[in-house]
Amino acid sequence: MISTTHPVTWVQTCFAEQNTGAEQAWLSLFRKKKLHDFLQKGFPTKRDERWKYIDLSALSKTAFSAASLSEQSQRIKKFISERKLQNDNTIIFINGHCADIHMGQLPLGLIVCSLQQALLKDDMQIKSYLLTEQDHSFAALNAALLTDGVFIQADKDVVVTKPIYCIYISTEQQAFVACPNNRIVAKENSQLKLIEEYVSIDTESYFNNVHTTIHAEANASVEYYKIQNEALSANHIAHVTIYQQKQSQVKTYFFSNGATLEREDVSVIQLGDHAETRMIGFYKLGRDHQQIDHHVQINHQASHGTSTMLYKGIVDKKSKAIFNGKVWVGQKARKICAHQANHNLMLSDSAEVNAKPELEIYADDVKCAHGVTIGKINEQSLFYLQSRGIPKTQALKIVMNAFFSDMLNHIADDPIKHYIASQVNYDEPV
Amino acid sequence: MANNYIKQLVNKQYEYGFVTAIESDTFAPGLSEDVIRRLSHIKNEPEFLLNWRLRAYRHWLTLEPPAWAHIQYPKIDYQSMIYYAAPKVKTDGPKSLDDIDPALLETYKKLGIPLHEQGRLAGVAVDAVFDSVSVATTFKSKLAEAGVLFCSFSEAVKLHPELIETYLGSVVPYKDNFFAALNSAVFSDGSFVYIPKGVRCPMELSTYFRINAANTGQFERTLIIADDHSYVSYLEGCTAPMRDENQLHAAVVELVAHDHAQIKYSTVQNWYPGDEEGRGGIFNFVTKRGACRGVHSKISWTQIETGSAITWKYPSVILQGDDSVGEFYSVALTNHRQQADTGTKMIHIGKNTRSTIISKGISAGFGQNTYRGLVRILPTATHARNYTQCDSLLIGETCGAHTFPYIETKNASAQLEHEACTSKIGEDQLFYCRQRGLSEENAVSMIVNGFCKKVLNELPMEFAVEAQKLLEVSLEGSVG
Amino acid sequence: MLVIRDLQAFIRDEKQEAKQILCGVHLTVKPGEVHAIMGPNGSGKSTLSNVLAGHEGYQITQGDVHFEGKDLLTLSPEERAAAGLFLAFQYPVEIPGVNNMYFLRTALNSIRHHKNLPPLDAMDFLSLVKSKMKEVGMDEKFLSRAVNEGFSGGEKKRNEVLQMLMLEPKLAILDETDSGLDIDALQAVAKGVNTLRNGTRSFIVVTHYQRLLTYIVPDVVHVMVKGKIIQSGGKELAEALEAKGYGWLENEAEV
Repeated sequence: MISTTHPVTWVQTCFAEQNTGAEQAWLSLFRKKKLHDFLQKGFPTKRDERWKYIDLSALSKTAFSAASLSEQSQRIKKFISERKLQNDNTIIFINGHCADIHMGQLPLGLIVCSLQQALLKDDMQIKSYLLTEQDHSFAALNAALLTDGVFIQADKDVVVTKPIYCIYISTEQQAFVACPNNRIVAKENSQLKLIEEYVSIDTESYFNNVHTTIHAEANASVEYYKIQNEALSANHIAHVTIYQQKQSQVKTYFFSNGATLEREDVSVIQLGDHAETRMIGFYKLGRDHQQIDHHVQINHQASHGTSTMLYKGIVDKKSKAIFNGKVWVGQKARKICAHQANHNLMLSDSAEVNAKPELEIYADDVKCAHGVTIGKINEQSLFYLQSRGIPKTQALKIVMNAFFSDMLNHIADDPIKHYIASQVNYDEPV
Repeated sequence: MANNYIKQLVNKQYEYGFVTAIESDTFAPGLSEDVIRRLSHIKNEPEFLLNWRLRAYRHWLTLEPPAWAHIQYPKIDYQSMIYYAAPKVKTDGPKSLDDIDPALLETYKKLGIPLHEQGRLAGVAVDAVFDSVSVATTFKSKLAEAGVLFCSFSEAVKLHPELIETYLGSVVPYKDNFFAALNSAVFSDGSFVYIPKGVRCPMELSTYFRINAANTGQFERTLIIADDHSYVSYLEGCTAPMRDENQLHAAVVELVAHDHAQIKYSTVQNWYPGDEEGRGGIFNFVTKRGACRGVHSKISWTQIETGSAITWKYPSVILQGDDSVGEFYSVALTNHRQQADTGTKMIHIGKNTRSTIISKGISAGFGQNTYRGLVRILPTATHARNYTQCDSLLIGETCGAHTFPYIETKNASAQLEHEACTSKIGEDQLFYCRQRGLSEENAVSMIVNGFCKKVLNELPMEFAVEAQKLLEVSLEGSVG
Repeated sequence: MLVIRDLQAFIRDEKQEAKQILCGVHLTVKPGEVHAIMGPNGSGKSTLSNVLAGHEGYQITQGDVHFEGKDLLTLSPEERAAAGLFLAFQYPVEIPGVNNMYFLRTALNSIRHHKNLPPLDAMDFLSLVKSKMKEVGMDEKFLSRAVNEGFSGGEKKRNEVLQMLMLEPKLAILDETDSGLDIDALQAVAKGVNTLRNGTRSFIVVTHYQRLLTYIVPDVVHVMVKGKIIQSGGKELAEALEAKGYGWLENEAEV
């Protein structure tokens, strides 16, 4: 697709800033190539079908500079200690750079390190992983300006019961761009739970361009939680790609709670038979000009796969929510059962919701269903609560709580459930 | 797989594939301003129309054919096509059936559309369009008594130029899309209907389109205006001969409903679909749109799409008037190598506007069936409501069913619901029917009809029976 | 009427692995008899019903079934129906958009066609179906509904019995028709069966509970465990089962 956005000059400046010459030759070459790719493509525009509803102009207007690692100040330490998720396994990123890895007792066969550490070890796996990046402009940008990321691998039969919590803090530095790249591998029969949370402390406009790739091998089980809890100064673009082998189980949870601009592209590809996928998402938009865009796709390439997609959102003020869900079933896939649902509560007349639930099916032995609803809070139920003496604002909270907690009930891990419940302000006063 | 029935049914040939040997006036292939001027001149058109055509043509030259639809076809060479073909007549236009070539009358008789008024469709007035021109319109005088104008588009240009000038392009502007621009430049004929204030049209109106000549494109234009408090039900049918090359049909239909008016537009589209290998068949690239201009107006589209190699059409409704209603009921069946990308647009502008979309896609063989729809609620459309249901039924392992609904809301008081499901004919359902003694053949046809029922119910009686038969015939030869 | 010898069948499960369900069933039903087949969940009772009706999901590996001397296993489901075999489904199937009355009339006339009888015209059919509906306590409004669509559990089962009354089979198999029924519906089902009992017509009543058998008194009771009939007896066997549970027989079978 041809893009009309003017080549973004800040990208070149950032690239130059970052290019210290210290890295391996192949990486340097590769990043250069990706910079070239990006400059050719530019940012997508509204003429791109996949980007038609979201306004990305802020990304080319602001001159972002390369993210630099800042001190882990007392404030940050205090901030982290106050997080309610008590956890031994915490990895801290500051402005995209890995600042600290606290890990409790690591089970044998579990690797946890930063991407840069993995690169230093000259890990062939990481090399081939980076070299097979996807071909779109944010992937090119991520590779060209690669900051850091996390590399987690659970070997065969390794079961990690406690979630690994990665917190990405954006702070202080003015107008920066960070490009983390995370790689998670769950080998055969292993189990992993991973949380990625994004927060801001005292920030001005910044841009996170995140890439995460997850491999769930045969019979592996992966739970992936993404909590976007950033300030309105944040622009957040993320691509998550998940490959599933036979009998693997993947659950993804997305909670979008802040940022002025957020785009989440999630693609799950079922490559092996009897894979199971559950994709849950919740978004809450409550500020003028906020845009949150979820593009969620499940590709059934193998047989006997099941998938459930449930996304819900509350949209208020002059904000814009976008949901695009796609179920794709290839011709060789048999006995597929896919379900997709999207429900939106609109609280304001100036808000906007754009939903596109797609089914693309090339096989006959399938059962696929989807449903979308968009509407405001049922006046009847509000009235009912009020007639029982509950003030309107509280009644509203109750109804919204019911709408939200339905999502929480899909989370099996109790500590994570409680943590998310405490972090997501679904019922901020309207 | 239990579908022995479907397997064993060999291809029943397309019934309407014959060619009528008839002398016709045709242009040499190719398109230019000169061709448009000649066309306009032959039809004795007023200045405004020629100018409009030329503006459309110049705009068309700047456009690229749309590439977003889920269809694949070879590039069309617009310069190798013939833009005008008309059966030869001695006079300016047929004054009565006696002036019409008997071969033509015979053709329509074969198609089951008698132009003699005492025929089978006795309660239906018919306008017959053969290649590029309207050859006959029945029941004219009876309709005139009620004040209803029903005639060919060319005739309307002569008799009611003021209505044409007011309404032509007011719903589908020539700039709308590639095919609409092409049609606006070269359309040759079509049907025109005007229902005056307060009149309930005394009978069903119908246009029967027939492509006969080889190498020609058919570009007709239909305009229906329902004035305040009026009602009309309009039917459209189409067939074409079997030919190995593809032929283009790029029609435009514009509907205008004023205050409290209702238009019901039904289509049974059975253009030649091409053979099993996908050779030949009609490219049916059609722009249909209705404007609910008045308060409490209603436009309802019903379509049974079983023919054409490729169908690309989105009958839409612009809901401008407060409390207006838009409906879209569709059955699209693709078998063999047929492709359909069809659906609707419901644009809610007025207050309390309501729309309903029921779409049923059936795919068999190598058929690809796509529902593409847009429901847009503008900020002005308070308390707008939409209900959408689009289901797909799959028969065989090589077909595809796709659903691309766009839902855009800018008003919190709107209520939208969208449901869709895709499944194959259930083996459980087949077994249940067969356990009760039904043959597999009856069971499949019963289940398919049940699947389409909500749509078939919307068709006028005469068409419902025909549509049911058509569905059965079109499914024959699908893979088991 | 029905002779089953050493019937063995398997089904392919989700993982395409063969799972043996019937492991050598022997059963003889004479004209006019009512046989009850009882057994714990998963013992193969419903599979037996489906195999007899010709469900293509099961593969038969051994044994034979004769119905009035005909080799039943070579017939298609509709031929078995025409020959007089009726299965009341455990889970009656919904067929959206297909009118219940139209369905029933097509079924009846298909079977009449096989018997070389003239089709029943709309009027005769209507008065017949209305009288039968009264017998099973079904509201006439169900005639205009789609087949089983949106019916409650009890309504579906009544609809099955209505079809049975209309089609007048020689052998009716009731596959757990009593599960999930309240007492009214249960009695209506039993009444439907009892009106059809006439000394020549046979029934196989597949059930998990003894409850139904107090209303439909069986001539023979069989107990099926792990794909085999492990014990047969009179109606007192059903009562013993109710009192002692299946464990008693299962343990015996192990020995």
